[in-house]
Amino acid sequence: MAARGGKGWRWGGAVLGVAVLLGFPIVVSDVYLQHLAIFFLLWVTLGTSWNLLGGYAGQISFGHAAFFGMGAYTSSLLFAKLGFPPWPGMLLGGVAGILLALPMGHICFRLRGPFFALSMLALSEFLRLVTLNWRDLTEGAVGILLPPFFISKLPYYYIALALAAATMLATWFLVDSKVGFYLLAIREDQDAAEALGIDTTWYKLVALMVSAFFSAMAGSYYANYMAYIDPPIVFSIVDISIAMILVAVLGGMGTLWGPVVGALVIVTLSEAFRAYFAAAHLIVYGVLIIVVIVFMPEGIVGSLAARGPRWLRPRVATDAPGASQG
Amino acid sequence: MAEGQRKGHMDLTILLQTVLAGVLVGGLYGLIGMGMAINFGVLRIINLAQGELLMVGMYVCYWVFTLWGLDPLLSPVVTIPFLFVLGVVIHRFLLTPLIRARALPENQILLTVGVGLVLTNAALLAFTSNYRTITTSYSASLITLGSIAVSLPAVLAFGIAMLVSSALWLFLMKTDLGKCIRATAQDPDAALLMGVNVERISVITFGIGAALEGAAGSLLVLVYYLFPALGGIFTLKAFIVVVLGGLGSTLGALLGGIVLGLAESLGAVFVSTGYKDAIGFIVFVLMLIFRPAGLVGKARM
Amino acid sequence: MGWMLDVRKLSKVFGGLPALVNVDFGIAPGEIVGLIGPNGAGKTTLFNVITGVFRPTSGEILFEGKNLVGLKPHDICRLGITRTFQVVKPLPKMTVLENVMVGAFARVGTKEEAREIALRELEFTGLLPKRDALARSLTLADRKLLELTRAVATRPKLILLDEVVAGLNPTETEETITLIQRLPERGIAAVAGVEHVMRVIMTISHRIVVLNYGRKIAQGSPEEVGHNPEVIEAYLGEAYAETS
Repeated sequence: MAARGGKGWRWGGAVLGVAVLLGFPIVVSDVYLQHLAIFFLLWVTLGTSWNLLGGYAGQISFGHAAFFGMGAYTSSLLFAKLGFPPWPGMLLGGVAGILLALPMGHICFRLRGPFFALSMLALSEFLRLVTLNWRDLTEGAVGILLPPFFISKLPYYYIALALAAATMLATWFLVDSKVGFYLLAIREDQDAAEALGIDTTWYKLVALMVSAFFSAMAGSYYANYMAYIDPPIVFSIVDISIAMILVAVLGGMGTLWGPVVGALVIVTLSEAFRAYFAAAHLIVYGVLIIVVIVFMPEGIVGSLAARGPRWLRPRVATDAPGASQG
Repeated sequence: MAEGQRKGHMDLTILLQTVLAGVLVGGLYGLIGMGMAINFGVLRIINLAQGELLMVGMYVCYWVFTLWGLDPLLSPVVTIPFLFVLGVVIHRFLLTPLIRARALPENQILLTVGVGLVLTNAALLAFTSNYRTITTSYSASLITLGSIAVSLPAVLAFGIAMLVSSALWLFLMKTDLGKCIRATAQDPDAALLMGVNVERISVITFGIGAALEGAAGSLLVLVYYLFPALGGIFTLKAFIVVVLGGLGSTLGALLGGIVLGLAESLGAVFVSTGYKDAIGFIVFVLMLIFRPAGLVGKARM
Repeated sequence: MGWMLDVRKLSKVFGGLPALVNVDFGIAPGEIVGLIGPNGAGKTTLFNVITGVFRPTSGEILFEGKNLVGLKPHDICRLGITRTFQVVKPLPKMTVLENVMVGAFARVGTKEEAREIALRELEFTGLLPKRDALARSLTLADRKLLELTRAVATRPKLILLDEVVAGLNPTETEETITLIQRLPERGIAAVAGVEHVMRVIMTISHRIVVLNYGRKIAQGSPEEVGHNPEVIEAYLGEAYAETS
């Protein structure tokens, strides 16, 4: 079925997609739409990085805001206190995410059960409290105000695009290799994975570190773009941690394109419903989660792919040449 | 010299008072955690809407008090059945289909996240984000023991929490239904073979887990203020309590609650109020590192 | 005889209940050993202890002279011991081929190499036609076969087969047995754990070890074990042993 589409179409589609993404902010000059596009890309990054760990490796985190906020505070503080340039600071933000991930993974991945998922939740709450109370360093609830770096949205857009692309490429690269097979095996059955020679603790840690790196970079980016952060925003359970899960689950866990679709839906819906429900617009998130889990547990991409072309399938799989022949 | 002695005496008083306050609030934490523990025992998943159920219980208590003047101490007769039914409905219409479809545990947990979000935001729509408190005739009363003073509502809340916990324990140990719940928690397959209707037990247990939050909500209203987003905070506290006690152990949860209450109360006085909740997290991490099976549990790794 | 795997005085106690008591046994390279014991005799525990799932309470496990105690299951797999599970554990949402590739990755790093090994092993076990099916869609017999294929793909020197024929019909049992018989030609030794003294196991095993209540009660050639009074007693009850 997929074979009929052929390679030519896929390359054509890819070129077209890249052209649209690169040309979007030049053609669409509306600042509000550009802003939405930037948020879309930010959510692609966040959803994809959560998905690598949660969707592929099956290690659900309820507190990825911990990494997001860690990245945001690291680059912002480096700039505010030491004058360290904020865009290279994104990289250091990412590294800070990894440094946070290491002990967490080390403690939690030895254990089975819900420990990791909820320890992440506890960690992000812990960091929120620390940033709130350590006023000498973080200004506490006052937050950190950064100068805007660009007047135009264009540079912001392209940086967000680069970040989202890097996250997706890293995921694609990992998932298409031995690591990807191992992560899936761990998700599917940990006992079997161990009996087959997989150091499950190590591979989960690898997925966590990569995931934390990109989530933290996204946090740094958010700080630079919004030019303001405070603890309740960047360590928000619902607006960051749960929204990340929603993006991945809605789009399709363990699929490369799921988070892209999920991000599109979330950004559109939350803009649409903000007007109706005001502060309670998150009720939409709740209803969405319930509906998706009950009626479409494979997510949008996952459900479509079950009937659709092979390259969409929610597995790393042997999309490798030859798998579908003979 | 005399100055120093008096200071020493003061410190001791503060310490005793702090410990007492910690134990009293810990009893409530224990009750909140028990709801999560009993659900975990049977469902094998953490219900992340547990704190939100507590929040609903608190609002029910608040409204029956405000509208009809029902004393919070008597309100469990309303909150317990109300939350039981809510729990049964949530399980029957949302969780049961997932369990029948053998959905991944992660998906079941995510579902409870969705339920929690809906409950919180429905409360936000209905009652706004304003903080509310209940003022009863005894709200400001103190009990003094020498130089130590504790608030009467906290003592009453603790007492009733212990009463409810004992009732739960007796129910689990002595009644047939309780035995079925324990058998299911121990080994669902074996329970099924013994003729236990595991699905029905699962629904009832979820109802009981919710009802416990109803009872806890009625009591928490006496010592805490009420707002829609409170659920998340208490879900996390309940989880820490449950881990401290050993996943799924109801008695352990009670102990875990008291440990958390003590840690928070001592931390607030001797470290800083702002870090109170962070101390709970530190205790939790230490626990994960050194005794992941909980304070009373057997290691199973 | 030079044992490849040498288990010495192995004991495992769970919360005061002994599951294995001073079990001694050895396996030579390329040997097929039938491990027989009623349900609860300790076969699975023995496999779990050898493969590092549980740490033994006491005793030694030597594999090619190296002590395995304290190693993790994945380390032990890399040294050359793998296993199948009593309750089969396929990777349900992956295809048959992908399942086997996961096993093959224990020895190689690239997808191409893993694929090549996996295809070869699927051919060996006869699962090749079903390579693109999702593991969860397979019948029990095929899942068991898949698990065996996956285990072989890790290039082990020894495979521990837990309840290898349980739940299979006579034809499937026959096919599995034939396959196990061919393992030595690939340089693989096997321990086949079974609940009952079955003729099929008796015919393919070079040696039989019998466990009962966590103790080794007999070992020897199938012939010897079949006539061992203690074995008969364990299976048919004391009354039978006394009267016979």
